[in-house]
This record gives sequence, structure tokens and C-alpha cells, in this order.
Amino acid sequence: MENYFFNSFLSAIVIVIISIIIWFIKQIITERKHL
Amino acid sequence: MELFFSKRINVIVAVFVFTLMVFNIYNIVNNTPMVPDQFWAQKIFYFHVPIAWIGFLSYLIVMIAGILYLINKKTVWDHLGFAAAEIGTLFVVLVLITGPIWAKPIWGTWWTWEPRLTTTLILFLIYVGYFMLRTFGGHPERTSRYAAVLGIVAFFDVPIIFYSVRFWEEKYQSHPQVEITKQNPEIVLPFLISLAIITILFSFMLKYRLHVLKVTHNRKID
Repeated sequence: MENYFFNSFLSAIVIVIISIIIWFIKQIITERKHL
Repeated sequence: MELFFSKRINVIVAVFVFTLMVFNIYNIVNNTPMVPDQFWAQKIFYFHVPIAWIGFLSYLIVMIAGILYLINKKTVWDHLGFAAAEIGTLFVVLVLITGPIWAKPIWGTWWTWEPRLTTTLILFLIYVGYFMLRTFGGHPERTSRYAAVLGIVAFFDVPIIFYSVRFWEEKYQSHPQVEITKQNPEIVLPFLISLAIITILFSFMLKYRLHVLKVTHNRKID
């Protein structure tokens, strides 16, 4: 029963982590493009 | 100018922030209690709420930077407002995504047009307008001025979101009205740790974004 709603938690945290990683990658690309 | 990560201190801070984030996830997964009826879905709260608070803090920075820019027209305030607006909007988008992921198993629906959700969505849409203005505004100085004004006006939605659970009658409310101070310490402590770590992450992101804006601005001047 304790695994109930685990998928919701996992998908929420994965979306947060991936979004922040994408943001950092975007900054790295923008920075390199302009230097 | 040099690359942000060519400075050793920035690499050290990045590794530190990354370690804190890993610890935060570990702490949320292993050291927080299972709340009856919600189970794992409740654990979304440990990052959903801090991200929302820091998103709103970010918009406060946009407002303050906007006021300062209108007073002395220094580029640094324009950059600070733009950087904070971007990161704040990223965080508000994450709030608008993680909220429905929690709501689906608990309410049985992804979305409901209740006050807090609706006012948060309005804030996001105002900032969509802000970025359209930044992109298509034309003359750079005029765009910065208009963006500063919009950033100031947009912030008035934040207290409305915060107090939306009181402004409207109870029959219109479905968002949880949890007072963090009245929670069990087993919940409060990991929540505060998560809030602190996400604040550190935000500060680092803001510093990096300001550096990138400075680089792109210098390139345009050259």
C-alpha cells in the first residue's frame, strides 16, 4: 500500500530535475555561442 | 569575458549545489513520514511548495529591479529583472506541472478552476506577455522600460495568489490550506531543508543567468 501514488511522485520529481538540467544546458550553449 | 565554469569557485559551488539537491531528494524519499490517504503523492509537497515560494520571491526581485531600473537606468537592474523573471517563470511552470500531478490521484482531476490555481495561471500568462514584450519590443531601452513597468504591475498578483484562500468563500476553495507551523516536526524539518536547498539552487541559477546576460549584452555592444 505504501507504494501507492509512487508514480505521481516519481514523475513530478523527474520533470523538475530534467527541466533544471535543460535550463543549465541552455545557458551553457548560449554562453559558448557568444564568447 | 571568460566562461562561467572556467572559474574554479563556480565549479565548486555547482558541485556543492548538485550534492545538496541529491541529498534533498534522498531526504524526501527516506526521511519523511507517509501521510495516510496521500502516501507518496504528499511527498510532492516538499518540492512543490518551496519551488512556488522561490518562484514568487523571484518575481519580487523582478519588481525591485524594475523600480531601481526606472530610477537610475542602469543595465545591471534590467539584467537582474530579466534573469529573475526567467527563473521565476521556470519555477512557476514547474509548480503548474507538479500541482496537477499531485491533484490527479488526490482530487481525481488534473485541474479545477479554483482561486489559487486560477490566479497562479494568470501570473504565468502575465509573464508570457512579459517575455513576448522582451522578444518583440523593438527598441532595447524602451523595451527594458516597459518590461520594468510590467514586472512591477505583475507582482500585484502574488499577494492575491497568497491570500486567495481567504479572499474567496470556502465553497470556491479546493486547494489545501495547510499552515506549515502547525505541522508535525517530522514534516516541517525536511520541508525547511528543502526550502533552504532550493533557495541556494535559485541563487546559483540567478548568478549564472546574470553572467550569461552580461556576455550576450557585451557581444551585442561589440
